[in-house]
Amino acid sequence: MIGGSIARRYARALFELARETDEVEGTAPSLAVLAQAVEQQEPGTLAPGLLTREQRQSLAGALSKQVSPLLGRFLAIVAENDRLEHLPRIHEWFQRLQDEAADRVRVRVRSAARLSAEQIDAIRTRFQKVTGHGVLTETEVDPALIGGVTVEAEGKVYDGSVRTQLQRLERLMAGQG
Amino acid sequence: MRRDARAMALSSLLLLGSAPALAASGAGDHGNGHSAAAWLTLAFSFVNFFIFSFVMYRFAWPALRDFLVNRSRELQEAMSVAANAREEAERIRREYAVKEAALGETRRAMIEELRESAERDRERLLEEARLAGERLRADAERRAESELARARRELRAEAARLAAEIAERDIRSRLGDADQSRLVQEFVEGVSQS
Repeated sequence: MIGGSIARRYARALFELARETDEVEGTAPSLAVLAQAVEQQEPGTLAPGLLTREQRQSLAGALSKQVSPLLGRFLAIVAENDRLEHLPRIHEWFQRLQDEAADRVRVRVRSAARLSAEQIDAIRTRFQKVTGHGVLTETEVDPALIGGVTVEAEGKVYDGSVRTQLQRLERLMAGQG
Repeated sequence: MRRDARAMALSSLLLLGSAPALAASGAGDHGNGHSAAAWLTLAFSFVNFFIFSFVMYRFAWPALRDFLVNRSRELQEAMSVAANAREEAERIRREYAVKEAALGETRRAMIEELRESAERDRERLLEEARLAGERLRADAERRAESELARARRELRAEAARLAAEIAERDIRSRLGDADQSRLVQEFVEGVSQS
């Protein structure tokens, strides 16, 4: 909870600065890359108090070379305050703020087979009606679903997978339904 | 009582008074001179005896009488006390007889109570044993039913799992692109309807 609060404050600060300089759309992908880089580290590698100030500044300096000056300065501040570990959460909050500003929701679509552009568009259109906002789709192929799709939108899961139907059938046969 | 005392005194006087006369008649054969002296002696004896009797009657008799009266009263009182004591003893004896009878009754009641108590204990123990047996049997039955139900559930779950596995394999082998598209289409329509 504390980590979430910290991440939200950093994300809001970055978002405000990016909006002032009209760099929101450019900042988001770079921030996603940084967040992914942190997530790929061993858990606890960047935990507060583990790295010295020099090590953190050196790391931030190396990462800054690949991002915009705005994001580079932001990264330096995060490293100075020993909050590098929070970058993935900062990215999540940045995305939320970005989506709120654009009046859109992010839906995660998982399917057993790759979806065509028409199918994705159909799903986006349906969920625009369901949520009442613009929809940004993130797709993922998951063969474990066997067939069909699942969609996560605004904290709810819409499940149309064959796997779930089979599980439901299994529970009914087992008398647990 | 008083008359008895007087009769006794008179008898004593007569006996004492006749003693000198008898003595004088025995001595009459010795002559006249002796006769006068004898009568004198007799008279003197009478007088003497009379005085003695008077003194006795006047002074000793009241004391003797009082003594006898007191003695009589004491005897009466003693007899009364004895009678009372005997009545008391009799009363106590009767009381003890009653108590003894009551004791016997109490003893019989106690024995009866003990017998009833023992009978109740026996019945209670038998009832408890019966209930314990029923409980044990019910527990055993319940456990057996529970085990059976669990086995049934497990069997059913296993059968369901196997059926699902078979169904999954079958579906995977049969599901084509057209089916996938249809499933997506149905999902989209289902979401829009909800």
